[in-house]
Amino acid sequence: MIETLRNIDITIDETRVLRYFGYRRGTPPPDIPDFQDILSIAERLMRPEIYYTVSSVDSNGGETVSFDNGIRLGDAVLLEKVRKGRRGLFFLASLGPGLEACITGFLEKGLCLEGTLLDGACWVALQEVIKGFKKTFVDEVVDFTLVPGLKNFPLERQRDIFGLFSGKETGMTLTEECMLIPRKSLSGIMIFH
Amino acid sequence: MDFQLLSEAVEKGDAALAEKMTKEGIDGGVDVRDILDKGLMPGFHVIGERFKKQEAFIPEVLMAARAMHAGLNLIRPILKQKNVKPLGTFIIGTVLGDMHDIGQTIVAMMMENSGFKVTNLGVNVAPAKFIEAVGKEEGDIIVGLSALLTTTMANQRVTIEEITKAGIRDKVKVMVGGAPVTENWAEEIGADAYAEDATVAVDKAKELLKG
Repeated sequence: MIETLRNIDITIDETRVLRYFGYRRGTPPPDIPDFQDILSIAERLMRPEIYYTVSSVDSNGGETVSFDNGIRLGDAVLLEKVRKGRRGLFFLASLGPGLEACITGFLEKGLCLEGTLLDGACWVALQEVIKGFKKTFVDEVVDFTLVPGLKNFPLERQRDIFGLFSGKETGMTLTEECMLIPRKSLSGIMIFH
Repeated sequence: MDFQLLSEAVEKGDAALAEKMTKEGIDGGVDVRDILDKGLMPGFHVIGERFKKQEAFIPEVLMAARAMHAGLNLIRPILKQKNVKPLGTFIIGTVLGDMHDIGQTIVAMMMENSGFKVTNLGVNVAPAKFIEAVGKEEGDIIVGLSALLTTTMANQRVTIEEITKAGIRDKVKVMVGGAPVTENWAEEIGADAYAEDATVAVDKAKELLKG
């Protein structure tokens, strides 16, 4: 069964955006013009949504793990995490298409600083969305998220996860190269008890 | 003209001051080459060096780039009138199948500020588009291929292969970059250079022109 979470309340923390760009804790932040305006744009345009489904581990036969939703994966990083739990929560999270259009608009006008800041704010927001989502399952999560394309979890796994959801319902598409559209989206697996 | 002040305006990302000083310099008869070489460029160079040492980060680099651009916009038409040639032509795009635009836009801006004529082909660029763009240019040409996904970096190889098949490989230098790209990958696919970030890309491009 597919569950949906909408109306997620997110505030984008300026310090976290600065850290995303490399500024360390304790470093005086630079005076970036219009920074607050950019953060406001991000907060105004984002429409966070998460689609998710939970599936039990059907078999964990050494080199592969099968879930009862039909997904069968043999990635070492997943096998290691699945040993700690019996279920997987598969999700697609997105901030919606508005931000992507706004970033592209900035870049097309030569407003590279604004586009880049907004892009950074979006990634921080997306992380916040996932963090908040994880908190709602605090008693069930045993290991944090595997995100395709990060930390040795192949980007191609995005295809497996995406296949569990209806594109019509989520409004998301996946390109042949495993890129989620809207771009401010990601997929992942959390391991549950 | 206080070149030091202009340089600091660029370094601090003060676009309004950089533009104002450049205009005053031009109106006062200061050689635009001096405004560029002694004022705008040194400020941009300082922020680039600080970025390499991780003392400054992308927002400050972009603020400096914007300030430099404000001055450069006033200078460029005059340089053109004087028939001052660009360092070379830099054709950049994100390879086929890849929609990421931030990184390549930053590189394009840095290259332009550093004296290159830039053609930005955008994202999801087919090899034929790169070849077509090369065909329109003369002189020193560098092609920059950006890829941000493990699933699209193979198209950097394909693009180089297509450039070779088109018989123009010896006419261009190819530079590659993007999150999953490495020096080894660049070597494996026959690129001439790999750049891990925009400031390195400028340095490498200048090195490539020296041959």
